[in-house]
Amino acid sequence: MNITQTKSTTLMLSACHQYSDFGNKLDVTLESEINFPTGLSAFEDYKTFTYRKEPRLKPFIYMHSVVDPNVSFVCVDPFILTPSYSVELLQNSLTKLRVDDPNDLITLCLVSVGRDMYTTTANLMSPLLINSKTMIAEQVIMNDASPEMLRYNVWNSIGESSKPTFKTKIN
Amino acid sequence: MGMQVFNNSAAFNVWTNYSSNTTMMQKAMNNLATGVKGAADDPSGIGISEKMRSQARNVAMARSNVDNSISLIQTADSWLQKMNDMLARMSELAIEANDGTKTAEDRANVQIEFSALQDEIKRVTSQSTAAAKYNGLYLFRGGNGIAVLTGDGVETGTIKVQVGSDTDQTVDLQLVDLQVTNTETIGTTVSYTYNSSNIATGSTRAAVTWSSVVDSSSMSVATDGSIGKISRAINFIANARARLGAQQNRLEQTKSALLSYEDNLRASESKIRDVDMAFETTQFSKYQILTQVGNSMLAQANQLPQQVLQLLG
Repeated sequence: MNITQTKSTTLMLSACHQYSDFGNKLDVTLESEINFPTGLSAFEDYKTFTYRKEPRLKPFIYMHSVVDPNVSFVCVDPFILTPSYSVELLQNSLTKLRVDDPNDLITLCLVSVGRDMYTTTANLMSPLLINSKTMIAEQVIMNDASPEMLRYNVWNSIGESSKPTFKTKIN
Repeated sequence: MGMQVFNNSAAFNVWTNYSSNTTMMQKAMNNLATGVKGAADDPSGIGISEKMRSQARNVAMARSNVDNSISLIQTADSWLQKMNDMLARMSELAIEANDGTKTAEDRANVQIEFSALQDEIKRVTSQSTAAAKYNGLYLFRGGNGIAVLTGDGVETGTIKVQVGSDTDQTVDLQLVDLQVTNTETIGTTVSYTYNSSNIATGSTRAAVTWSSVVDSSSMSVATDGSIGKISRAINFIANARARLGAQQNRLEQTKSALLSYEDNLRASESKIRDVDMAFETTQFSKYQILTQVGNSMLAQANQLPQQVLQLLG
């Protein structure tokens, strides 16, 4: 049977939906909560998130608000995508995060999942900085970042040459 | 004072390290991207998402306003740069004219160039024919740059630009008045009187107006104190440029903040439409789907994205 790709998956997904329990039975590791004292831009009311490391999505991390799981983000370690990445910390952020040693910081970038994996981007312009000791976090904005940093193509960082081909048939 | 972060905390790296494995990364990305939810699946989730979409559109529009303001400022700045160059040349000419070895004819030529520069500044900045405009707005006629319908003037007030999705999130752009008619004081010159032993005995301060420098009928190259006056005008322009620069800097920060805001919405939206689905779908084998959903669903399978099928198959 030949398969063509179209937009609507509604019916199939509705059928799947009743099995969404599977999602909860995944082997997930719940980590401690991350606190954003000032919230995230556009989500100022959501100050506490938890994250889980879902093996199938490794190295991506799934972070969701403790009050509304609908408010959630996919994150990634920017240093995986571009090893030359760096974040400048202003005194202001250091005070807010109460961090003395930059080695205590976890840096994560929010990921926008595209229609396919080639259009998935990470926001390297506004990374999340998390103090791993206190779990206090802040999103910092790098004003001097180039526009490409905002929508950094994750696929490009893996390399064009390794693009797999998809199967188009199902038996 | 700040510091720089170049890598993640060691404890965190234990988990992410082996992700440098390309295949793992590809699989994860594919898992992320395979689920695209339709509206019927999770009406409440999509509702939030639609609200976010409209929010994102507002913010995108505000960002476009900020972009326009930045280009207005950049346009104004490039004109100011030109004016600075012209004033600098006028200053050179004023010094040249003070050379006693020059013939009357030489001086006349210097004066011709000098007044031509003054007239050029007038042409760029003044009257309804002023050349320095941005999208129809006069850049150097003061006020908000909008021409009044009758007469030769511009409306008073500033340019108000909406730079956020809330009512009060506006910035005011102030345009400097550089018309030849502007009698605003832009600085003072001081002249001293000396006695026979060359000791200063007194000083006179004189206010310099913009008009007195750029109006060719009020200042010629040989006017007393022209060099000092031009120097005040150059400072005045430098000051205007500095203010524009500061404003542009602020607008660019606003732009970065808006971009982050937009991208946070966009990133959050990816989850609602995509990621939950990925969690669910990856749990199904092809056979589970076939038995649970039944053969009638196969027709619907035609509508599945290829990536989902790849997972199922």
